[in-house]
This record gives sequence, structure tokens and C-alpha cells, in this order.
Amino acid sequence: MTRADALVILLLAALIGWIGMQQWVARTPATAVAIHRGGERIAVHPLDVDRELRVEGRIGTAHIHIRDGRARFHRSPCQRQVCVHMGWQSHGGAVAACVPNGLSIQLIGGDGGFDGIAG
Amino acid sequence: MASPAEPTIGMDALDRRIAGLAAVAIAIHVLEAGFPSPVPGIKPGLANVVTLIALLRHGVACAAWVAGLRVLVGSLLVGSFLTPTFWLSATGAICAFAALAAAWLLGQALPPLRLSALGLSVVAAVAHMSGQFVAAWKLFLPHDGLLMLLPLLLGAALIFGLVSGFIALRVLAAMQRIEPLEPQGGSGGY
Repeated sequence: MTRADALVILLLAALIGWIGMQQWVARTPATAVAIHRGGERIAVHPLDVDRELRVEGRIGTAHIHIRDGRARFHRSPCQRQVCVHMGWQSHGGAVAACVPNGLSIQLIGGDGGFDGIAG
Repeated sequence: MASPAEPTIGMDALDRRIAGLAAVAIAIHVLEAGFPSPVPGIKPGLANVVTLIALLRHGVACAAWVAGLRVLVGSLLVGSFLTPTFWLSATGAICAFAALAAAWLLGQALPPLRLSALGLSVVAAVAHMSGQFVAAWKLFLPHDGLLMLLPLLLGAALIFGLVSGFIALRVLAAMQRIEPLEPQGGSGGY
């Protein structure tokens, strides 16, 4: 191992660590949640007001909860409950979707906010 | 020396070396393709050890041949030729080779920056993963969620690059004992 080897390995490790910080740690909290039905935005709710919403989807009523600056699918009529198991979402750009019911929530504000608006 | 039974017409010593090294690389490539991986996109990439050996013992052109033949013939044998897997593999291999050649040529021009097989292996592994990731993200799965995987994938690439690099160092030292050869680029060893 040469000195240049050690330098390159350390630099790459530092770069990867920095990318990890960007992706995993330095994510900014969201400020609002947008609810989509079939690709169309049907409502936007601020996250600083706790709320329990009922939203009609393609196959039934989903319960979406907003609490402590986070949002989640609380109950869903779908079979596999993927959306419910995705749990609380709190960062800008985070998405939880229920494909069978045609509903999704996307958190906006923070870094991911503009992606949400464009989508 | 070649025995009379071996075809020698139109083949020089370097052609034979390329063929031999490529055969080893293809064998490793096919064996690796058979192993299950815990996370899609992560595999050790031990076939790159052969590319490194080709580069350090016989130079850039030989390494390019070995890497190119491995991707082409390996994909034909595995049955992934011209599938999305092939394009990802080829993109990764091209990026890895470009980074490898750049690091190598830089080391030739500026000896203090010369990397051993270890550093070269890590550079190639990280470049391979980066290229493959960008291709997967832009071509097949353009979702921002994929970015969450990037640090994990690059970390794995770094570790596997180190492992491959150590193996390459050991193999090069053993080859040098059996068949001493002036390392490419003159003094300084591998």
C-alpha cells in the first residue's frame, strides 16, 4: 500500500460518508402533506395541526392521521396494508402510497418540497 | 514454448495472455452471477482482480481487452446479453475502466500519485458502482427514493474494492515469483 493508496481510500470514504449524511441525516422536516387520488392532488393539510382524515379511495375509505408534524396511513381497506406499514412520514419528499386504493400522501416543505409541487 | 498442437498463426504472446486472462475473468464472472446477493446491485466483483492484474503486468491495452471480453462473453454465457442487466454491467465496466485508466496514467505522469493494486481496485469499484447507479436511476428507476441506497451501495463498493485489491496484490506477488516480469511503468513494484 502506497501513501497515494491511503489518500485515495480516505478521500473516497469521506466522500461516501458525506453523501450518507446528505441522504440520511440532513433531511429537513416537512411542513405539509399533500393527498393524491389517482395522480391528482385533492387536498393539502399543514402538519402543525393534528388531524384525523377520512379519504375516499377507489375501493374504500382510508384513514390518514396527522400528528406531531408527521403523517401516515392509519387504516386502509386494501388487502396487503403496505401503506399502513410504511408508518409515519416526516421528511420533505417522503411518500406513502396505497396502490390498490389509488391514494398516496406526499410530504412537502423541506428539501423535497419543490419535487412535490412539480409532481 | 507453444507445443505444435497449439494454434499459433496470427497470435503473438500478448494475444495468448489476453485470451488466458479473459478466460479466467469470464469464469469468475459466471461463478459470481450464480451466487445470490442480499441486496440487488451488490456483488464482490472479483473478476476485476483479473483486469487489475492485466493492467499492472501488461498495460492498459491488455486490460481493456480483458475487461471488454469478460463483459461481452460473460453476458453471453449468463444469458443477459443486451438485457437491462447487460447495459448496467457494461456501463459499470466502462466507468470502472475509464477511472482505472485515468488513475493509472496519472500515476505514470506523477509518480507520487502512483497507486498500487489496492488503490486502483478501490477507484475502479467505486467508479463501477457510481456509473451503474446513475444508469439504473436515469434509465430504469427514476425515483428519488433510490438515492437513499446510494451511500450503502458505495460503501459496499469501497469494501469489496479493498478486498479485491488485497487479492490482486497477493496474486501479483505470487505471479512475480513464478514468472518475473518488469511491472508496467517501470520501478516501484505493484
